[in-house]
Amino acid sequence: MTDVLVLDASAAVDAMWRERPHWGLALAALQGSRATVAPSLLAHEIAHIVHVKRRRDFAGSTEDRSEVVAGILDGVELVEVDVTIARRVGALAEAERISGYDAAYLDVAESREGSMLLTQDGRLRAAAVGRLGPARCIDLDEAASRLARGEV
Amino acid sequence: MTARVQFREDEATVAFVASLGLNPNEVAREAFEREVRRLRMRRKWEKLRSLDIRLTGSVVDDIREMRDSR
Repeated sequence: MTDVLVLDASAAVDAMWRERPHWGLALAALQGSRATVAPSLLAHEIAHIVHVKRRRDFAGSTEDRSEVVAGILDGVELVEVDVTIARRVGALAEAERISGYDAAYLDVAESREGSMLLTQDGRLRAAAVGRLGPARCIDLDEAASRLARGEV
Repeated sequence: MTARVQFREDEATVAFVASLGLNPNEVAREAFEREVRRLRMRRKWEKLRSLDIRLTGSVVDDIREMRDSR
């Protein structure tokens, strides 16, 4: 049983897709049962998606959208980057041939023993499965399946 | 600033926990923290569901594009 959830931006936002209500339920259950952490990059990515990239999907005013950003980030421990982390992330990106942004999430997951990475992204998941093992890297469908089996 | 939280439990239960080599106060504290986290997250998701969010599809491709284009 892992007690830390590493949350990728893709899963954090996709969980609010109302056509997939089981995704939101799964993430709510995961966050309710373990600490949630992410690189501080998560905050920038969420803000960009909500305020810029997918702005039309988030109705209302700028203030309304900032409430969405705050809501998504509520309860998430954001890990600030320092020189040591930047060196590790760079090496990880090279070794796995992934972007530094993907590596930032993978680094947080690797540095927390027994953590589980939740992502919708296939490329990040492939790299993470290789390093963490399949049980520690899941997407929202798998999270929902685990919830249905009472494993969350 | 902190506030004290206390509750009483019967002696047999406390003794059982202690017999496992565990500190009953630590076990109680961890259980309290777990429950608070669960309640916090329930409130968070109730609030998010009340907001006017009309996601038209997964954002995974948008995020992939962001990460690959920077």
